[in-house]
Amino acid sequence: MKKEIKILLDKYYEGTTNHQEEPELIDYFFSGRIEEELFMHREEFLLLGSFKNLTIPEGRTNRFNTYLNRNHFQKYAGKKFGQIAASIILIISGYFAGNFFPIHDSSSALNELKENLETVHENTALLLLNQPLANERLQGIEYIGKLEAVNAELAKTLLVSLNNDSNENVRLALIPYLLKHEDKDLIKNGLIKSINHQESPLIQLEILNALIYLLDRNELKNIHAEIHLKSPNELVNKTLKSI
Amino acid sequence: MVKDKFQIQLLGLEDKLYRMALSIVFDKDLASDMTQEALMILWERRRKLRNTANFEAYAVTVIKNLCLDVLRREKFFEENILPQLSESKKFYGVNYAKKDEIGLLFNLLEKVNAEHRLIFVMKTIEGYSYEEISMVTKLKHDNLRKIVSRVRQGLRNSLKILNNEKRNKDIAG
Repeated sequence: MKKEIKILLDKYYEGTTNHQEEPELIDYFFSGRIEEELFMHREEFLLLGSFKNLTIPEGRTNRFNTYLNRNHFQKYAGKKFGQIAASIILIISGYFAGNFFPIHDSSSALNELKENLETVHENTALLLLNQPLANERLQGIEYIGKLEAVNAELAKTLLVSLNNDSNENVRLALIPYLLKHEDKDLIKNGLIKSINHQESPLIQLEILNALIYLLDRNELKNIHAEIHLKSPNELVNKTLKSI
Repeated sequence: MVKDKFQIQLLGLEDKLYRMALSIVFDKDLASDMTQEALMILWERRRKLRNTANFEAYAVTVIKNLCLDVLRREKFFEENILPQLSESKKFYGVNYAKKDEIGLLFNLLEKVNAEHRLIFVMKTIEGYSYEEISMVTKLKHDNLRKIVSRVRQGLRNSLKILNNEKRNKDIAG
């Protein structure tokens, strides 16, 4: 037995054991009947055995299960299909409208097409911002970058995401796009409300920079009293003092 | 592939994917999140995966890419953003108990490159063959064997050094 295990150990350290021999080694060192000479390897295999028995902590599996139970994927697939179909209909109707109705000015047709494209991008952004995967939400933010302006519905969705999105990168990425919305007061109030419960210094800084960009000097002085940051770091404090 | 069969197949992989994520990111919470994210990505792609010959290798590739991406972002944060912030706060803390067995294993493997750690775990813990690991890593059989051998010997030597230090401390104490 000792000889066999020694041969297996040599093979193991050379990386040539197969998937049947490796569990055999772990079992041997877990068995408690270990030769004295081989005792030095015991701890190593006990560590590997403990790792092998590791399972995902209870309660951490909820996200995927909830996702499945809600049948979100079916709604998502249906909704996505509907959105794509609507977008295609919109583009085709734009094309036919251009062909059947006399066009006095070619730039008006181009503008119409631009508007249609803008609507497609808005719908896609809204759809993606509501997806469970952070990567998809980030893609949604990329679509907002393609828009000339952010409408009220999109601006409100962005503010909701800024306050509630679990992913820090998503929250960070969307802040500059809020500045594309024309209602300055809505964005100003939304940003002030949000900064007070953000914990990440990166997001606090980004919001402060957005406010500096958005407001003039007098307005900035007025909002100073409304900002009460949770544990701001040195850089955030410095920026806050500078406004 | 019917829905339930795919679901069962996915959930059967959950713990394996978690251990592999853990071997890369060394953070239990983050590894759990990455596993959930990977499961959702796989679920979203289930129609495409219907005809994939080696679904498990595909799943491991997804978790590997997600975790390595996190490490890259963490590295970028530490190199480019952290120096500008005064407090030395890490994006992702290493939140395992250093005194438990898993913590000790992580300590011993800390200096090993993340991808090599994954290869080691795939071979030694999860029992994948070199052919299967090659599908995920795109490395040749012999290179994989050398990596596994190096990590295994490194682990043995580190443990030896640690035990000698402990013994010397006990003697001195």
